[in-house]
Amino acid sequence: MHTNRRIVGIVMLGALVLVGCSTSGTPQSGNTAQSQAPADSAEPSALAALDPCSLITDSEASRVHLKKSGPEKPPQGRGCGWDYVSGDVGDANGFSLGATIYDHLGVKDFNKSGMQVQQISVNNRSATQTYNGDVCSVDIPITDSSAVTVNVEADAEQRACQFANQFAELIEPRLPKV
Amino acid sequence: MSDNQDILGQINATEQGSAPQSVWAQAIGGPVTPQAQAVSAAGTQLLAAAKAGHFAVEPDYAKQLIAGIKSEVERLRGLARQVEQIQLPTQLGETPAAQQVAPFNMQVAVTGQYAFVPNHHLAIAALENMSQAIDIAMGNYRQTDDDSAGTYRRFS
Repeated sequence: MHTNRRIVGIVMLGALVLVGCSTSGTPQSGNTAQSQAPADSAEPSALAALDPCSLITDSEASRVHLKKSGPEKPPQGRGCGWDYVSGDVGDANGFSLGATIYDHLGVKDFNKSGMQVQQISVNNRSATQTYNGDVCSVDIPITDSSAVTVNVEADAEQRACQFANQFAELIEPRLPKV
Repeated sequence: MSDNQDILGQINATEQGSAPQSVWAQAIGGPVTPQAQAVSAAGTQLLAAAKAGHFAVEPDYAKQLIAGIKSEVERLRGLARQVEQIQLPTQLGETPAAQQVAPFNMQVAVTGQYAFVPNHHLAIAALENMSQAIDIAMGNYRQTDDDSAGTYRRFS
């Protein structure tokens, strides 16, 4: 009997330890203001909850004549696309816009060989701009192993990169802060 | 948010500005296929023919054609973005495999014999020319119609 009580006590003590561990390890979903937490463990849940199609609201899209083409699935990313509906017949001023969330891929992991690469700032957040001869991309780091990319295809580099920078500025406030 | 409205205003201003003339494959440096060159030439010739009044298109049909071409251009532009994203997660480091594969991505996109980017630009330019040609041909149809109506009135 005395031995049984001892065993029960040990089991209960073990259960309390396990509950304590799981409680302290529970992530705080939806709360990005964890300035004391390490970036890699605090931000992934906020980024994971972000829908790329919500990075530009329907009202904003309408204001700048964008038509949402819908979700996209680039390798290792989750994206959304929009098309600019221009009034001109030839569509020479048209462009295509995409926003992609990379939950497990950082800017340092991107292969940009052969592209023009520039370090830029988006709303005081360091970012990278690249151009491959057709598409201009702005890559915004979230953590070392996650990023959000805005890319634009347009008929000229200047125009493509101007749009990519402007839409990055529009989207950036909605991204988790490191 | 005023910052939000400011940036939307800037985007609108960029949209209203004209696209600067871009030099296609020559500036980028990649070769174009004979097929893409042929498509580009066909678009240029169609536009010239429309401007010279050599053909007319009935307006309702013209509008359908123009809408279809615009949809195709949008598809091509979206495809270009996705081609660019394909090469991003190539994590090969400095291995011999990386030295082979990483430049190959760029060949597929820009510099190779059948590179996507320069040929894609020509295809979009050709479609844009076709769209303009059909728009002009729609005007040619109306002109022909008006001329015919005037002839009928003179003889009625």
